[in-house]
Amino acid sequence: MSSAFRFAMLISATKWGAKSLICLYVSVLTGIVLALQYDPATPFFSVGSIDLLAPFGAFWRAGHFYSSQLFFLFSLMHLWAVFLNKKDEMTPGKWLLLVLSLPAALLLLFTGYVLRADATGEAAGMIAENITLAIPVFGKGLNSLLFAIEEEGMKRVYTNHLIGLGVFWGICCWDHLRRYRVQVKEHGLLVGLMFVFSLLVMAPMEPGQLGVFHIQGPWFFLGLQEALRYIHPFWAGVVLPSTVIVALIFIGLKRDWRGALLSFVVIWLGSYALLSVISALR
Amino acid sequence: MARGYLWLQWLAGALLLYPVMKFIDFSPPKKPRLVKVLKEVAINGFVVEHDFILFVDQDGPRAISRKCTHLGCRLNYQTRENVLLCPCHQSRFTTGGRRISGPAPKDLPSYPVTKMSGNEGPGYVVSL
Repeated sequence: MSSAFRFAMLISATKWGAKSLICLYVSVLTGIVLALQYDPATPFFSVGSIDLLAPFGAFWRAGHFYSSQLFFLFSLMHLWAVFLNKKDEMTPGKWLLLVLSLPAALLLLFTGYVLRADATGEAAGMIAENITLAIPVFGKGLNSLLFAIEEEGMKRVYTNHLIGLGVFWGICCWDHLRRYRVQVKEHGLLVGLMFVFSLLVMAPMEPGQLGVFHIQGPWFFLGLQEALRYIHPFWAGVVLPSTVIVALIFIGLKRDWRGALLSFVVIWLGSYALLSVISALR
Repeated sequence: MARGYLWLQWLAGALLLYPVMKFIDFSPPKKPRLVKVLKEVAINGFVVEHDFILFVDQDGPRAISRKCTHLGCRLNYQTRENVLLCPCHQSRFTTGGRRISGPAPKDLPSYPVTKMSGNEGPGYVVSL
């Protein structure tokens, strides 16, 4: 048995979906605790106070940060395992909703970065706003719906992070989650490790400093940050990321195209990873 | 009949989007913001504020926006090369706001500056 085959077996046999959901539970729980202290009117000061002054503030923020990261990563692993298992039992409508839950999860993660309003968060928020505004016809409305940081500060980003995107993600996954029950007690080790890690390692925070001439966005944003150097924001920030989502949607709609579409997704991810590495090395 | 009703329901839902988007799109008019820089800046000196950098030279004070015209990242002043540099995609601008290189499409805007004196104390008022 080759090592690649064993690795694929391991990926397909692991219950990534259950792990992802457990991480989401922890993320929601820690998020609720954080929201009781966070003030979107003074976001950076608020996050700084939580980290440095509030008792156990750094722990709760780290718990929210790392569980959210794991939630997204395990969701991706879950999708990969689905492809390896070659399950074809889903209706196109349900598949469409589940694929749409991915950009919703990514936006949840992204708005979390923006809300901390440090150097990275502030820049990432402004970039996202300007990319959205670059969309013809619908850009202004979509920006008003999702970001509007320039006009409204963190108000709408916070609303979407707390309610809008979470509800949208829930609608997308509702039917899927009703069918699969996950017991927290079966994942005690994962929950325990997350809390211990959060006690030991603080969540990142990068205060804006004079004389900083290079900042890097969140890890999932690096490839996009690099692409934006060469390509117009609408193409780099909207069209290119949309192609992979559309390809994933059509994998569930057109069974005959599955091989070609999967190849496209793999090439897309490889290219994005390469761009991310180039950006990280700058 | 049921199919016709379904179509109507979708239409009603879509029509509801219009007032929703108009509501979200509204932002109350904002007053011009005045930012005070409460110190005297020496000739060829500068002060970095959140939204602008105030330069003072022989011709007087000028406030240049720190918002990059590419994607809105906040610029910093690199004294060694005497340029404003975007930390996100490395667009470069002169201290007068003129674009030198990088993906930024336009020059930086500047803001009106008034020098304070007398009882108001030394300093500048920048109108954003």
